[in-house]
Amino acid sequence: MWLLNCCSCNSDRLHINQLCASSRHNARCASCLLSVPPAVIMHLMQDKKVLKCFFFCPLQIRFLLLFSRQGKVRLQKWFTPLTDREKKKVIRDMIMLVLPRPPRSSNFLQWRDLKIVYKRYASLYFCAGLEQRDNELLALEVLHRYVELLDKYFGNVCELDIIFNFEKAYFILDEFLMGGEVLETSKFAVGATMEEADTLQETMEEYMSKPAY
Amino acid sequence: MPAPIRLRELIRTIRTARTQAEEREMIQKECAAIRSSFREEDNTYRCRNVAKLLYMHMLGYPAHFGQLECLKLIASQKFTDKRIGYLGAMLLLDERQDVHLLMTNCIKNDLNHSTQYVQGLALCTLGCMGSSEMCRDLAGEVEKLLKTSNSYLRKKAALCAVHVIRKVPELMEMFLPATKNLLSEKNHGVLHTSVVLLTEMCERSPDMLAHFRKLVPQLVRILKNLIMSGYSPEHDVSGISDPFLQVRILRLLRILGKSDDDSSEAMNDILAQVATNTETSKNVGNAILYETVLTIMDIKSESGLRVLAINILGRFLLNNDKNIRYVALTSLLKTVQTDHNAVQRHRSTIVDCLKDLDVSIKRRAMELSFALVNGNNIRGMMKELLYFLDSCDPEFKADCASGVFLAAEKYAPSKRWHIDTIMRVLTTAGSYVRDDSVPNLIQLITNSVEMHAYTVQRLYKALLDDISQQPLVQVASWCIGEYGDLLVSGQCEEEEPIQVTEDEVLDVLEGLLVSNLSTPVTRGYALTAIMKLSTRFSSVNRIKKVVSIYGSSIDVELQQRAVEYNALFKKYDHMRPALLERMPIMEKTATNGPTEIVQTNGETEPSVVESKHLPPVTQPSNQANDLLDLLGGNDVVPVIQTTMPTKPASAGGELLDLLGDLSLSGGPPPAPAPSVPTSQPPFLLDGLSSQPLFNDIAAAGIPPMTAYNKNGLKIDFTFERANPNPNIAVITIHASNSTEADMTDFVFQAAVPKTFQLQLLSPSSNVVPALNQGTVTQVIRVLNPQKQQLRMRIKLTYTLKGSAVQDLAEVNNFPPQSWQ
Repeated sequence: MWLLNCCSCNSDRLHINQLCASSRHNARCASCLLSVPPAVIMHLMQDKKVLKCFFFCPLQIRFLLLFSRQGKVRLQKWFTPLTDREKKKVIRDMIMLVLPRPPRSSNFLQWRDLKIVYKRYASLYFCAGLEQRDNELLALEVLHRYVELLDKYFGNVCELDIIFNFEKAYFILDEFLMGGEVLETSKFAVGATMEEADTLQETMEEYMSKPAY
Repeated sequence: MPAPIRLRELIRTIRTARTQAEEREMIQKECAAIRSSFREEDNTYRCRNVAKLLYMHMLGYPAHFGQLECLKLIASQKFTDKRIGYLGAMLLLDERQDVHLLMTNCIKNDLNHSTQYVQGLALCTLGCMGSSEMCRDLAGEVEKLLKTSNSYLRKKAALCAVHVIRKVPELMEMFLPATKNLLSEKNHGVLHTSVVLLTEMCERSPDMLAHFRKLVPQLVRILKNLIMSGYSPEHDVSGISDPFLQVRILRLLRILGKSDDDSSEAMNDILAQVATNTETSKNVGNAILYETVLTIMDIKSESGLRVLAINILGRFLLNNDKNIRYVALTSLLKTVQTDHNAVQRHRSTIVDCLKDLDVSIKRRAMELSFALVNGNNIRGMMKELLYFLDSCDPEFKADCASGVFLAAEKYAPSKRWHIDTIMRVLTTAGSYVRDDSVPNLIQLITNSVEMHAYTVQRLYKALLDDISQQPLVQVASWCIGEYGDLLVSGQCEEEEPIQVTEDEVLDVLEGLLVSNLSTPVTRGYALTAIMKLSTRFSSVNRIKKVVSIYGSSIDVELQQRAVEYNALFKKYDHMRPALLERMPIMEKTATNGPTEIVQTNGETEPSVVESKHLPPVTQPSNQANDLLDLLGGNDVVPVIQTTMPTKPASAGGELLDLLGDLSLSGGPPPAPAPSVPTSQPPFLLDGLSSQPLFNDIAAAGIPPMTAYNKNGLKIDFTFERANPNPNIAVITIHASNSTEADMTDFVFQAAVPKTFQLQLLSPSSNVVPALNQGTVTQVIRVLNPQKQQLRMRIKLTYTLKGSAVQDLAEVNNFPPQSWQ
């Protein structure tokens, strides 16, 4: 597996795996998500823009998005560095792909070279982008566990809870996922640490008699 | 200055906005207030302001001016500030802005903080967005935390280490000592993240992989405990104990067992146990089974286990849950190459999935169905796939049509079946097929001599039904022109002959000329067909009239054809019968047929089109005839007529080259003249030959040569003349290696004298396999405007058995045909 300089954004994150190198596959830039056809890869490789050599791509969740049926983003977490413009493009694509899906479709989609796993909970769509080799059935469980955690924390969570307490939703997520990998598999641990951290926050508020945000 | 409004207040206000413009206005006002507050270095409300900014950022408004404020919050002593500050940093900053480096020191301090939650925040931020510089600076701290007894910090440190390794692989060694006791941990969070860390290390380095192989028994034990243990409320998911951990362990086992007999042996039992004991009524059980199947397929597992795995996928196919069916199709697609027969057993279920309502499933089922087609089942499978082609959404038609062409070409049981199938595709999905399918079908038809009458009848009937599918109409016109006599004579053994008169046929063709549905290319086909019929039918006068009418057509292409045909009637009438003779049978060449690439949703299937070298062909004695054969359906008639007799010597060389190419090596059918409305005589020929199909036919006539043969490395050159420019010689190098070791990092370079220009295209590979087991090909294009003798200096570098080899050579023995 190699990394090349991307021909579009010039970052050094154009992933070339065995299949790409043997001209069978498009390669993808991990920064701008540009898909590069084999012909161009050969050209780049010939230009000796090969920077690093390693064996594989990590198997992590690439991004997690929460958006409403109206297409409003409620939470976005990126585990690969992207520019704001690229992020907006991904968000737009996801919303356009997922919202019009007929009911009772499967929860998986192919988008560029990512697997998209989404699930609707009440009015909110939870949508994650996975690497090709990842287990999409388990990703559904990850989404479900996150919903359970939110539900436990807020008590019968609804979209409004997440809108008004979006920072809490992020804190919970950070206790559950880190760098695109599951951090804690216990159902109770996340809630317990959240509670403890929250009290830490409040006591400090009182101590400083400072207005909360 | 009054206190800024609270976050929740702001959210509430923004939500009252009725229009986008109103919302934007509110946000702009608030942003202005926040900016001025930032400018005043207000510490009390910074946290509140940043939090508000994060909300606006989520709505899609710019918030970059909060970046520095986040750093200030991180540096604050208060937990509330830090919490929002780190959150803001993760949302607003990433490794591409240099600002993030300012955090390094704060993170370092916080990693050594006395409160675990502060340490946790720092670890989380580092593990989420740390750049390689940051990782280098802080790896030591992460490693220290990986060894603490505090499981809250330990699990975060483990994932942070994963991130560090992803960013800076050479720091991997550093974490090796800390991994020693990771698997004896009881806490599932730590255990899970440790397995992730080990996976990362194993996948990155073969040394680590070898080192960690000894962990297989321990991993097997953990997995066994998980599936044997009773109900634990903390980790239970619908009756399954910690599926996240189970999947992770299975994945690590997969990597450890890959191409290693002992490890694979050690995990066979547990895999069988997981595969048989997992409860499959819920999604989560299937997630584990799916992972188990992948592991079984990847390691050196027993054959019984592999059958079990494929059967699990077969069961998945019958599952009510669409997700499971989708996963089954995807994984069967992966295994179809290795376990073809096992997958073949589930064929009928797979074909049923074509009828699924879900497009994701349909697409996978289509790809898998094409992968399953073979000589034995082609008739049945094609029936299903053609039915699918009929009813599927437009987005599938192009892929499905090319899949059908490909399969039909490979496995057609009979010529008639092949023609019927392609015709069926053209009638149902005509507008979706690729451009080259028309010439391909024409070639196929020409070559099946005994089918001519049958084909022309079928096509004529199809034409009566529908003239909207352009590719079909084009093929039909060509065939009617070519085999019109067979159509009218009503001789057909295969089917009930139809009775048509010459006038009826001409009516249909003229109908095509005037129809709105016809494209210019189709009209060209029709006109040429009518012209050809002038030697096959008796109604020459009618044809003359039609041709002369189009002599003033507004379409330049059509007009030119008509004028040329008119000239043929008037000036060269004695040559007309010979010129319009039936096309000879065309031999198949390597590049023919639908290109061997099936587009499957962006990914191209593996296919290596070997550039085949054609043996030199002797020039035929009667060149005039070859010239005439060219006519097929083209507009070159008068051009050749005029150029041939006048300057046989000068133009001869090039012309003959071209002609030799076309008629001798049996190129594909004379494709319709491409819609270049040029009327310069010489270019007409070029236009004809610039069809992509003709590419390597031009090689005929120039013998190959060996340019270099030393130390086991042999380099052969083969030649072709580039179309349309005869000044360009296209040389393909074929490097082969007769030593017993692969030559790696192979680079071929070439230089030519200044009067030439050279272009080196990319090589097919940089490894020349040992023992002549394959070749590396690379294309060189040499522009030689002065037609001088070709000379070339080549430089070769490669690595053989670890040592670099470099050599120079001069190539002077190019065959004269390659440059004259």
